Amino acid sequence: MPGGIILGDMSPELAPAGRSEPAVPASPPSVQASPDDVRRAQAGDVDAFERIYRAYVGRVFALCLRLSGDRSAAEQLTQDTFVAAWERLSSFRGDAAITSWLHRIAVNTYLMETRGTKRYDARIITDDALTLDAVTLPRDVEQAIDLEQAIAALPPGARTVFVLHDIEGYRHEEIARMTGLAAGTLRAQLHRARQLLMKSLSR
Amino acid sequence: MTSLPDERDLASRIDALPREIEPARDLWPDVRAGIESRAAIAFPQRRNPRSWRIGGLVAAAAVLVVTTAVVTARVVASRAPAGDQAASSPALGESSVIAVAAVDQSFRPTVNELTAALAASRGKLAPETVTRVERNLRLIDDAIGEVRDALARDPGNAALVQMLTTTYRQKVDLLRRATELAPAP
Repeated sequence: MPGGIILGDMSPELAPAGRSEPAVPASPPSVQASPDDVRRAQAGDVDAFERIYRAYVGRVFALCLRLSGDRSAAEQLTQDTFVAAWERLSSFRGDAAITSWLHRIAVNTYLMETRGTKRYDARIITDDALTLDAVTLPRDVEQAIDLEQAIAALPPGARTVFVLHDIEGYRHEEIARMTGLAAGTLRAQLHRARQLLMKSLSR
Repeated sequence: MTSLPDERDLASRIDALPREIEPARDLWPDVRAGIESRAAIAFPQRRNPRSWRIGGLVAAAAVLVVTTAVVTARVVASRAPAGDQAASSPALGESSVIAVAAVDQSFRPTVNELTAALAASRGKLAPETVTRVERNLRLIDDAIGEVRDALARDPGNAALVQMLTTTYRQKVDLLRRATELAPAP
């Protein structure tokens, strides 16, 4: 199915209660790109790649926005993701959904940039500041927007782990491999993120 | 007193998040510009691994990129006399040492992995291909060395740290493309 997303299973002991399937269902994007567009783009057809961009930019931007917590940084990250995707098109074999392939590139681009230059995360908060009272979270806004804002206000490390695990559905070992975090740190970050969000949403 | 929502509430709110969010402006023109700016250093596709019709262009582009990095590093460094770093460059201060280490650390595993992959597939590549790749790798390594020297002289220069990142990316890109040239087993 075009646009279908392949997600890893969640660790049951840490997945939010009641979660029986990944957070992002396999729903098609609002604009479709055909498999032929992928083949044409792989052959160097930029117009075909533009159709792929149009079909998936909403999903990629949503991921980038949640990872970076900043709209301007998310725009830059989205651009970098699609440029990197163009460069790596020859490595796309079609055995995975293009959505998950693009998401993986976006995550890798984000992690590489944050490791190297801290370009997308000016708000670096040390572990010492990772307490429930150290972060001011929003209130009195519509629920979905409230959650988006609460996610954006999370400390960068906790936000990254939360977005990758609870929203994108990556497994712990995948996140550990991508981020270089130890399993204990990863679990602690995820726990903190959920506690911070639940505290925010209770206001 | 309000009660904390439980994880079930949180999960249901996550499920309700929109799958797509459109950026406020059309990013395609910038994406296309990014693609076209890199087109000049495109390698041949796997289907024609021994074709180096654009090899001269590849080498020229790599030399241009690396030369630009080196020249810029020298110019930036020469404009930053000791004691006047704040006026000449975006200051990273003492964190620059950490930033440089982070750049090294973030690229090292990928570089090592790709270098090993290239060494493993070396026998499958045409000798002239190997020669060109190695020549370009030397150029990039020299550029990395130049930028690092410039950073040693001007440790507070964020532009040099960014340049180091860019040059490392160039190396990763070259290694990745070179490994892709080897015919699939």
